[in-house]
Amino acid sequence: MKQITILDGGMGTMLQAMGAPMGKVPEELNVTHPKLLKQIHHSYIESGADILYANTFSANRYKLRGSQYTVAELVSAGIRNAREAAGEAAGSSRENSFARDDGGQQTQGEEVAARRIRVALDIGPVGKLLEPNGDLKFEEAYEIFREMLEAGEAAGADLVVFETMTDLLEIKAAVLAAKEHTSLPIYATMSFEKNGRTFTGVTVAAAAITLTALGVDALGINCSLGPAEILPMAEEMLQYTHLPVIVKPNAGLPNLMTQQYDLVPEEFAQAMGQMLEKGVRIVGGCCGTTPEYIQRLQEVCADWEEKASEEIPSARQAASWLCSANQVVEINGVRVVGERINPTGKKLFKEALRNHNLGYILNQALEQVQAGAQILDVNVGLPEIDEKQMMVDVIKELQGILDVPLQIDSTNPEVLEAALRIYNGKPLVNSVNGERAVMDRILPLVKKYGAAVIGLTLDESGIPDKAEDRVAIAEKIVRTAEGYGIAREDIYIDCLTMTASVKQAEVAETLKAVSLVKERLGVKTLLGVSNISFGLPNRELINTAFLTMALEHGLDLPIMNPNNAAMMGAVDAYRVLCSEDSGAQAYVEKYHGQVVETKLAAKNAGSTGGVQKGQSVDHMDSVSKGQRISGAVTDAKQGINGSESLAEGLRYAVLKGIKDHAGEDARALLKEQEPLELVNGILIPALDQVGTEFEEGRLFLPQLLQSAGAAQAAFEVIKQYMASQSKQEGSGKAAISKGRIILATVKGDIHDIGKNIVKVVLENYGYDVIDLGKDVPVETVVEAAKKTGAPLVGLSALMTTTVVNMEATIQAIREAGLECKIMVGGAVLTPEYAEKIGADYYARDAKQSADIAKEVFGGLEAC
Amino acid sequence: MELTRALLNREEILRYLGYRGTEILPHTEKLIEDSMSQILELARPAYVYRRYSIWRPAERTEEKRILVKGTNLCLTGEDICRHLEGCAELYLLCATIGAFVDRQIRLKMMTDPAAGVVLDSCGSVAVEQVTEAAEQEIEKEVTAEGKQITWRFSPGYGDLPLELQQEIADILDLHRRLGVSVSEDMLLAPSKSVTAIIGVMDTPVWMESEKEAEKADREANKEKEVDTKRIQEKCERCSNRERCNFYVKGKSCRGGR
Repeated sequence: MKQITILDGGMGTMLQAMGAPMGKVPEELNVTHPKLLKQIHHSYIESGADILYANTFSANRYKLRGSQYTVAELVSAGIRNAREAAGEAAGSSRENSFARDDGGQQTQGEEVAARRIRVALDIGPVGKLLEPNGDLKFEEAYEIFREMLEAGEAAGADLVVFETMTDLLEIKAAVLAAKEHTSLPIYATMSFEKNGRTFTGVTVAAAAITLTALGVDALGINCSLGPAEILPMAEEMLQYTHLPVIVKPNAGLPNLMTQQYDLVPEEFAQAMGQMLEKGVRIVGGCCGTTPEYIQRLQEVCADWEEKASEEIPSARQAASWLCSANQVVEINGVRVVGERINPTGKKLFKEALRNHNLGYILNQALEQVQAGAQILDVNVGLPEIDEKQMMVDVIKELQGILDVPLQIDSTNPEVLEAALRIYNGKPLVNSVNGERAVMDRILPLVKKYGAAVIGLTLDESGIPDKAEDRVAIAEKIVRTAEGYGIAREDIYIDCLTMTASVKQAEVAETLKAVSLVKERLGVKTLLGVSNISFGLPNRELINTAFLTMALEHGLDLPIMNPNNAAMMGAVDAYRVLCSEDSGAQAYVEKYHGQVVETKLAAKNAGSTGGVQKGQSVDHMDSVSKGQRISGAVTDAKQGINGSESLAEGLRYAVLKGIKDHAGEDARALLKEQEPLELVNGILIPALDQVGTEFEEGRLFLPQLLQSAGAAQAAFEVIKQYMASQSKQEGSGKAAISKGRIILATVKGDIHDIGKNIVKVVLENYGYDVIDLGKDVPVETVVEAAKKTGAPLVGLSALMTTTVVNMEATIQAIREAGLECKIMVGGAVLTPEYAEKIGADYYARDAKQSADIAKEVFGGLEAC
Repeated sequence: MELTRALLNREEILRYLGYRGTEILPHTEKLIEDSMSQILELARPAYVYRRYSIWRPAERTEEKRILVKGTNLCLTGEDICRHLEGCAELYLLCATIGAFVDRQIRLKMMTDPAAGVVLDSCGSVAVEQVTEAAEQEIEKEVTAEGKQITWRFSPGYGDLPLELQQEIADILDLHRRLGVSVSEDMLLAPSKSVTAIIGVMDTPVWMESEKEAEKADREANKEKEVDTKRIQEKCERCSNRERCNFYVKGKSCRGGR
């Protein structure tokens, strides 16, 4: 049986060579010059191509704006041309064979008839970058692809090829559209640069893992580079997939002087021969290749087929991978899952969710990554918020700035599905359990969206006490998941940590279950570690001991607080002791010469003990951050501290923008002063002075923001303190907030740097800022203003084109009869224009927005 | 090209940040240093350009325009027409430092806004340098033919519509070649990217006496002080000011100053 499939060569190259009139949309030629297109397809059939790429690459709605043809017209014409070329080739070969003398040589035409030529609907990128890199929404990309796909299938395409893609999320939108609206087989190829990444940073491994998990039929690499550069990437890709790998390179690299590609057909074909040796099974040519290249390639393939007698089994080993678009994590040892993105028992986190404060959540994420988390659990469930929308928003933001793979944590299948759709990579779903209904609802989603899944060892009758019974549930989950087509390496079993203070005897059962699950089922394991110590003093001791025990029993993924130095230390030590950290290299690198820090941490924990029992981890970060400050500043600060009071120290820290000292000083001051005294007596006056100096040009922007950052550090400490006070006293909401302000960058505008600066400054004046983000629809602003009753709304717009939407937003707020004041700002605005569009205030910069807020809130300040 | 530390002009970075010559404390200094290092690490400098002939159709209307041969591109407005006076050809150019910098700016704006704005400024200076490198390459090509290039002119300068961004992106096939695309509001993504038009003057006579011309220019403007003031005001209000090639050099794309 033929093992190699041959694709055609360049289309644009041929159109140019044949002198086709290259307008803005080359696909228009499908209608205007069908003969020319058929001629090109013919020449590729004759040179040996098994699959023809129809001339439909950029026939999408976005690229066709301004064209007189519709997507459907150009796509169908493109498929039709290829179809007819294939049909004619087969037809003429049949005629030839009838006319042929018996015993004659097999003609080329006959050979064409023997192989069935397939026609591929060819789909390239939309031509616009997806969020967050650009402004194209996932759903818009999906719709654009859907339109092409439906037209292509209706016109008789045999398969669809997505090619030259550089954004993994875009190709995911395309694959989902294909799966949900057609039954076409799917080939998916991406274009990588010399550094092994696409323009948006996607790695070869992440592409291979994600596309394989999404269930395409073949995947690979096309365009951008020549065969020599692509060879190592193809080798890498083969290690991450069991599917056929496609390589369709350019005819070498373009010569900068001549703009011609540098490989002749023979060289190209020889280089492609090496691809076959490595295991690539679908080959063709991209830019610069012509029928002659494919002819030579076909000869090399035929030679290779003759020599290779039987199918070579894939070299790929089954393994457990999770990934984002930029980073792959292989679970072949202990990998820490950060647990902190979760509102359970966290007052500030809940408040952040209610206020849509994504910045707070992102900071929680970043802190965990810096502390060593390799996967982050994301749970944003809170009864009073729209969990689905919040989950989507948080995941979009997280994957827009961080590389770690995510674990999507929700009990609501709709929330899971919405998150799985827009997740850029291969995530872990948290979770299913042994209940039939739960498995039948969630496992199909896991399979469809190419995720891995966590199975909890509980079912309709609860959590079994005995290890054996938990293993039985695990087995049921594994069997069911496999029934849904989920590979065993993508299943992670959580044997469930029981609280030692309540179910002491069952701690051992959990550990035993971990061992048994690994041994009998061969799946990876996971445990929420911190539950073990609930209700006991000094939880860290219990957590750390249990963690070490669990690791020794075969735990792969501890879900824990990576900011806790002791627990991370246990993981680091375990990696040394079980030889995972070869030569203790990572350990030595991390801990060498860090004795001082350990002492500091201990001291720090002691000094804050009275404030936050059992939550001292919240304060740990300031210690490690403290090391970033340069020596000179520290010296200056210490000088002040020696002679002046703590209050002066805090004032100095804010004035000079020294973040770390501000937090420490505020913490110390809280022992002597009331929080509000601290805010109104020190922080606000210091910020005012900073603002004045900024206005006068004595400070410039980074200094203003550093000061704001320092004040924020102090505010965080005060907020935490007040939250813990109100918890202890059972009193209501902490009364530090001076009031709520809504901020939004208006619809159509994605430039929110200015708005973010304003946000930082306002927050540090003690306002609760509800940040609606960028590109915010008019209705969203109105709704938020209505819901929160915020007395002040701030709108920003950078572009002349989007100021129109600012005006529309203001109008809508007025029409809704809301009482709130509106301030506006942005590069193109002037005070006159602000007045013209109906704003109450024009804010030139962040400082002025604080002045406006002061005016609006006036005597409203809470006390 | 390769970006180097030497190319990241510190003065320029500070200018973008609104610096007016006051004391910079060591920790702010460090922030700037760190940001420069990060840019060098994250930037993926790349550019493409192509040369085209242009022609000026006989006018039936008042509106001036220049057509770019072999494309659908039509340059409209007083300013670009004046800018390309004496040119029979032009270059379309795009330079970028890629998407990774944007990702880091987003991260920093969320977690450490002070670092975010500094990084943003460093990125602007970096892409300016990449554009400069491309321009130098073009200049070399053109000078070898005994011709001269004009300054860079970008969509959105003066009365040249920003919408041309899209046309230029299509013509240069920017999405495929550089990973650069144009958003709904006609800005480039990745944000640290630049498109520009550079004219090729085949009448170097004018250039030989460039200094004299500039002098004459100045005198002409002295006579039209009101005009100059009007132009300056426009510049002060222009959203492109910070990245304007003219403004930086104390000139205006609307002529004069």
